[in-house]
Amino acid sequence: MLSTRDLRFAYPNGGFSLSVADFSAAEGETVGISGPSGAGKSTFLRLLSGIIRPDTGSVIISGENLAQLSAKAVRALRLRRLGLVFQDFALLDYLSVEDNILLPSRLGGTLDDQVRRQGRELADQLEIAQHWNRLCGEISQGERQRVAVARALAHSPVAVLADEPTASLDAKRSQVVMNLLTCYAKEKQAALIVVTHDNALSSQLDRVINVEEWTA
Amino acid sequence: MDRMSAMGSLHLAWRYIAHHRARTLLLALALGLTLALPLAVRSLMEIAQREYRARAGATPLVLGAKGSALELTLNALYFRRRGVETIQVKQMETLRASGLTKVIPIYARYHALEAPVVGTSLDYFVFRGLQLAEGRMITRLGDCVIGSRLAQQHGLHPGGTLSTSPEQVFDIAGVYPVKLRVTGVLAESHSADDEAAFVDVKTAWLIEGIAHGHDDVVKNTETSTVLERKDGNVAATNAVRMFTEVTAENIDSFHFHGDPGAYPLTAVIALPNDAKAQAILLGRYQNPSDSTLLVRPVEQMDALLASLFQAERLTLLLIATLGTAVSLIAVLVFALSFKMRKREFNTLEEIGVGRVTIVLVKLFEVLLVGVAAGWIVVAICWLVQRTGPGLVRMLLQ
Repeated sequence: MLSTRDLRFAYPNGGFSLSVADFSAAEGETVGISGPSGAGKSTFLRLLSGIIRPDTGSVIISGENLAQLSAKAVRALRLRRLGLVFQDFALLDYLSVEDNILLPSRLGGTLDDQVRRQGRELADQLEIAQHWNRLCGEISQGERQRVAVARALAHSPVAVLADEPTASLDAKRSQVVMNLLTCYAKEKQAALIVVTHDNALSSQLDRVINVEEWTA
Repeated sequence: MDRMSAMGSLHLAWRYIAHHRARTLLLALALGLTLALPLAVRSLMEIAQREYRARAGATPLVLGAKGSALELTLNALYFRRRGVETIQVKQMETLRASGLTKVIPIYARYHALEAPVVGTSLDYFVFRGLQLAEGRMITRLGDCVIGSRLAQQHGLHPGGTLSTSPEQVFDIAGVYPVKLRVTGVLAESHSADDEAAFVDVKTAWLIEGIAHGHDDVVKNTETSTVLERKDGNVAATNAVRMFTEVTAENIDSFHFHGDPGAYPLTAVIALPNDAKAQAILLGRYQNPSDSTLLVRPVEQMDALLASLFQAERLTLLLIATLGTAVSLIAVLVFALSFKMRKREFNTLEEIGVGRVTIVLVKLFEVLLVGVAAGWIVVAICWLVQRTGPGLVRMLLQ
């Protein structure tokens, strides 16, 4: 489903580099990425999603090697087949909760009634349905984080990459979000890669990789 | 880029514009006004040309006092009172006596309700093709028929009255207000006639003070109005009532003083029998020592339009400069806005939105502001088309 091979990446200023031994996540597998701050967890997710390109090595998603795809094709793949939850949520404040959740489908040209229904169901499960028509700039941080999670799942991606998706949530809601993500992965047979510091939540995942295991 | 993605871009652009509607409206207003101004000026010029030439072209000749030919034309055509000198009735009679033309007197020096009061003859209504929308024509001293717009503005109908205004605020001893009886309202003619009140020229002289009406001190037995009766003459006291309104009861008391041939007129519209008669008349009034002036209004209006076109060119040049500045500012506004929203566009890129789609979002935003500006242009142009003729006439009055 999702794998990397001999992945090496260094930021141009030379301040940080990452070297990842072979990594893979099978269909329906849930993988946690843990490690201290600045160890490269978020960078790894960005490499996996094709937002940044590795210096060497390859990322393969559903059999497609990102290195062999054009930038345009990588974007299209990311938009339609990956679900991304960013650390800063990356929501558009002038859009409503509904518009934010449906944004990837709308701009990817795949918005239909089923996606709308799915988005609404996700909002119900994440307890943000009451804000459906409110602007994202008007809701709380915790609610924004849940909108970001709903946005990552609404278009039925084959893999979900979540960067600390529960950082702004209380314990109860963190549990709800983690349950939702893991259930999604199992039901849809999607790979789930979650960056998290929370050991309690990590215990729900199939396995956890500490980035310190990788050679930096 | 498929149709649904393009629609998604439009949706996103629309949401952004709708969220920042005040900013968008300001930008659209600035652009709209910049685009509309030259169109409005051009449109006004076309209306002015049409309006001025049509009315002037329909008025073959105008006789008036020597002086500004343009002021004379504007008085005869648009009843403008400013700077107009008078001629005497006998000068109109001289023109009539030539047998080469029909004449229509114009005495437009006074006003009522800010509208010009035009003393003329019934021939004027036939000449301009003016029809009554309600009521009847002038039949006696003190009657008036009014233009449709004047009637509409002040809710006047036949049976109503309007009082003339003193020419000067402190003109206590001079022209006093005369209450005019509205007998009819003219049908709309889309001309200066819509905004005027028409009276018989004798009524205009009544307003001037050449005619007046008062208590009959000869027959009156009231002692307080008579100072002395001697040798068939009566010396009246200041208790004699001066009438400011002509009624059925007092109409017989109105009388004129002085030589009727010396009564004033501001202009005379001359309708020559034919082109030859017109040429002869123009030749006759070429003498520089004459106290009168015979002008072809169309020539005067052409000269005025030529000046206006020169002013228009300068105005358009200024507007073009201003427009360029506003357009550059608009470009800067968009550029700065997109720069400030770099994070937002990065987000779109990170979730995988294509660059073409992002460019399309920006283009749609510019387009939507452009469409809003376009609507403002259409609204202004519509307003100019609607109010232009009135505005153009107002400028001349």
